[in-house]
Amino acid sequence: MRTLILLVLLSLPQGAWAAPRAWSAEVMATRIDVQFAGGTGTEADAQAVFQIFRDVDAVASEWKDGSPLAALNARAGQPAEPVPAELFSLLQRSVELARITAGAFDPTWAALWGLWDFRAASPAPPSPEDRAARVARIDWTKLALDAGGKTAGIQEGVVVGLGGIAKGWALDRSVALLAARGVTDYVLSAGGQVYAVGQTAAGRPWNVGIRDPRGARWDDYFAIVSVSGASVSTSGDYERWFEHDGVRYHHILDPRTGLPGRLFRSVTVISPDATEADALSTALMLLPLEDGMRIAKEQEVDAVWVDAEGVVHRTPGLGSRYVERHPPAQGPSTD
Amino acid sequence: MRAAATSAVLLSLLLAGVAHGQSDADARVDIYVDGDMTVVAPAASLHLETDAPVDVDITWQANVLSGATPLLTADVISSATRVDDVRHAIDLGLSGQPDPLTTMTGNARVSVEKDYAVIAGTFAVQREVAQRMAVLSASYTALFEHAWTSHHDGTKQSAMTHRADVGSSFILSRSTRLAVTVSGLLHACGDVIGCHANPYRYVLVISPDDVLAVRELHPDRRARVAAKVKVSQAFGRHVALHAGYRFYADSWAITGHTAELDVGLAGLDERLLLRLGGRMTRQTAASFYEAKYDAEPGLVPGLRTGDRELSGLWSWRVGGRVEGAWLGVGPFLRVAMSIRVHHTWYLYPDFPWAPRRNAWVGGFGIDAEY
Repeated sequence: MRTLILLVLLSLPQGAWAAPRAWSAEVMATRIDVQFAGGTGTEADAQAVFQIFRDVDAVASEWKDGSPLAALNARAGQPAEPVPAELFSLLQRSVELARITAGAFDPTWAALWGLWDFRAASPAPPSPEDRAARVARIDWTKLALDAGGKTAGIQEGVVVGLGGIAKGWALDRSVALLAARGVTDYVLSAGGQVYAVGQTAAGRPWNVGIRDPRGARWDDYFAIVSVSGASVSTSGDYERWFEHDGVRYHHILDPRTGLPGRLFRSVTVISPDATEADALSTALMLLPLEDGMRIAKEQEVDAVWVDAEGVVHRTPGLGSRYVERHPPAQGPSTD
Repeated sequence: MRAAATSAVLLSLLLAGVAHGQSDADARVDIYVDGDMTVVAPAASLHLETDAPVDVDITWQANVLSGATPLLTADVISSATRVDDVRHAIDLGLSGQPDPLTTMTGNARVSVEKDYAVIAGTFAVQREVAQRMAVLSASYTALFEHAWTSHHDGTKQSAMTHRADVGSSFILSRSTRLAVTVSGLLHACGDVIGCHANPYRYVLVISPDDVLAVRELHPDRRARVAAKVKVSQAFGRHVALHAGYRFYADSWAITGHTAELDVGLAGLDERLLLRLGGRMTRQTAASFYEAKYDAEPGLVPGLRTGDRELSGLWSWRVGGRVEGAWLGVGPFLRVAMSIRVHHTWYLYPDFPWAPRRNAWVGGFGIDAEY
């Protein structure tokens, strides 16, 4: 009997059995991803990031009964009282961003809660009267802050919501923590807002895709921004919307009118300050392009707009860091 | 990629240098290119016959995958952008003949990728009957797969596959050959429900007020059967016609029909062989496939996939292969070369994101007996 032996010995690629160095968690009703690329960064570091998001959520969630922010809203019309230091800092920052954007970003936008029901079986826009009544309660100047006593108070009828900057704030805190821990190469993602630091495993800056607002799939992206040490925040009209009488209504509401913005399909802001990127990406959805360009220049941030007709505009500072894979897909206009 | 191809050639030359007797060295590179993906598959093998009743075969193979326009790949959009991978495989095999008419073989294989490993074992027996005018064969394969995601934790899935094949081929006359094959396969998830699904593939679930992207989910088990008939007819010494039909059905309601036809032409005293042919395939979609799902608010379909390969399919392939063999070339007893090129058109009528796809497949190989 003839016997045949087949034998191959190979060297396995380095790292073929290495465990993935990425972790995720659900916090703030969204998914938080932590991915390390270099030799630094452990699961303990990732868990510390998740804990920051939980801490910020506990302080700044307007939805959690008993949170300091919920308590502030419950005291509307009463004298200002001391609030936790982190909440005070968040409120200070939100007022600063409201001033910069002339109210296009407004922390008192929460008076619009419940006005638009995007989950209704047959959604429809609210009546002009209801809308006017809500908009009358939105005014960030009615949020009184005293830096000396760290007190905050709001006038009767005002409701504060910090969902527009809480994720960015938590990203900034996470980046500071990881720097203190000596972690050098990683990317954080919080519900679509990204913060990239250092380099990828390939030794280059991180490529962050900008979602195509009319792409056929959720992961279609029309352009890539190469970043390191910056946050990329995108707001768009495609996450939650409905059509009524042939008009598309989306969830990014202008606090000055109570209506969805009509100018852009999406806006992406790139900034080392994630809190700023978070707020500006929303505000720039609601401001004319020239105003947005001016604010971006003043704040030294970069931005990419996809207007209502699908045309891309961007700040000149992006230069070669911006690469367009293809023009954004055509689809229903914002109008 | 370049290093892998170079390694294949060097390994082949190195091993060929130490072989003796009826030894054989083989190196080849196969290339697959379509609009999104390029696969380069270098491989090398060596067969050593010794004076002892033991022969040795050594093979090496690598598949190098790369996606189009890698510089435009985003790092933080995970599922659609993972376009690079390297696969390495280790093979160990035994074969023997308990009597002159019976051959028994056993093989084991370990293959490793970034996020996927497989261990497989096969046992097969083949026996010639009817005064060697017919061959009966049977084989059994057990395959264990383990997959995990490389970008996110928490997804580790295993599966076990059992496959049985029985076949027969008959020499009906000096110029006619008939082959009939029947295959059965059972694929069952191991420790995680839905292990057939791709952890990176999502489907769209659309309700009146929301659009969700959720991971696909397949049934835990999949049973498949296939039957194939192939007839080869020679016309003289230089022309042969091959025709075949294959029927496929599985427990996911997919049925497939494949018909193929090719002609072989021999020339230069049969040292040169040209084969030209075509193939057509029609496949129905899996019962739970949808390009996108319309659902009531909050309800996600229990079984779901947007996998193009599980949608309806038409495909047509045409191509050819040229093989040449020469005896007594330099120090070699025999040197053979082959070149093959195919082009395939795919039509996915139920997959609106990319309803058409074209692919070129090419290969070049050298075989030297020493």
